[in-house]
Amino acid sequence: MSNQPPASFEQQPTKNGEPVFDAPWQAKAFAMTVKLNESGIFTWTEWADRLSKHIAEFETHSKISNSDNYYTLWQSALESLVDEKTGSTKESND
Amino acid sequence: MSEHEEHQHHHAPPSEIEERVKKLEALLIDKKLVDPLSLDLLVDTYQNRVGPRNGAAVVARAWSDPDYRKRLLEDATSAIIEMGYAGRQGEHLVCVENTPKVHNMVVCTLCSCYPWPVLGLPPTWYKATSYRSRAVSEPRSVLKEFGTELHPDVEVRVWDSTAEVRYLVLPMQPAGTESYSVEQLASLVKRDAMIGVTEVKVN
Repeated sequence: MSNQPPASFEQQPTKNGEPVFDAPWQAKAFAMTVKLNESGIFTWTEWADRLSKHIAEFETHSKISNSDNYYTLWQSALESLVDEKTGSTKESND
Repeated sequence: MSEHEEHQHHHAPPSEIEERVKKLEALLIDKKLVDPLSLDLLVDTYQNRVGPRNGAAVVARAWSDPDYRKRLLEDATSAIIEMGYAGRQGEHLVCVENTPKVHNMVVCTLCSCYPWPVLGLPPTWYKATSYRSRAVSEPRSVLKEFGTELHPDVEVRVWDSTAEVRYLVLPMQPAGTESYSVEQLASLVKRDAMIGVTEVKVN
C-alpha cells in the first residue's frame, strides 16, 4: 500500500529527504491549529499542553508512535480544545 | 485482476481521520474562525518556504562573522530576526554552541516544540516516542544511532524545548573550511546538525 501523495506533496523541498506532511489532512490540521492560535482562540501554551496530554495518554498504552498517529493525536487534541473554547465540535458526532 | 479493481486507491473513500479533519474545517469556516485561503497559504509557507536553509544561513554567518556569532549566542531571537527570519514559534529562541568540550542536542520531551523560523517543521523522528524519551535517558546511544561518536570526555547537554523556549544548535565549523564563502559554508549545514544529533562534515 504505497499511499501516493498528490503531486503538490511530492514536489515539496524535501530538505533532508523527508516531506513535511505525509498527507494533505495532516497539513490541514496543522494549519487550522496555527490559525486558531493566531486569532486568539487559544494560546500556544494551551495548545502544547493539550497536545502533550493526548500524546502522553496514548503513550501509556502504546509504545509505538509514527507520524500518522502523531497527526491523529494532533487532530484529537485540536478537536478537544476547539470544543472547550467554542463549545461546538461534538454536537453532530454520532 | 478483479482484486486490482477493488484497490483503486485514487477512488478510495476518505478515511475516518480525513472526514474528521474535513468536518472540523467546515465547522471553523462556518463560524468564520478560519479562512480557507489563509489555511492554504499557511500550508504553502511551511511546505515550500520555511526550512532548514534558514538555519544553515544563520550558522554559516555565525561561523564567518564573530560579531554576529556573539549576538546570536547572546540573543538568538533578535539575531535571527536580523537575518529576516521572523515568524511563528520564533518568539524566544536560544542558540547553544557546540565546542570541543560540549555537545548540545535538542528534544521536546512532551510534544514537538521546535524552532520553526530557522528549521521549518520537525522531522518524523523528532516527534517519535523513542527519540523523545531516549534523548534524555540515553543521549549518547541516540547520537551513535545518528552516526555521531563523541569522545567520552565531551559533555552532552540535552535541551528540552517548550512552547516558550526553542533551541538552535550552533555546530562546530569543520576543519579546513576557513576559506569557504558563507554560501559554501551554508551548504554544509544540515538540519540534523542544528538539532544536535549530527556534526557538520565536509562533503
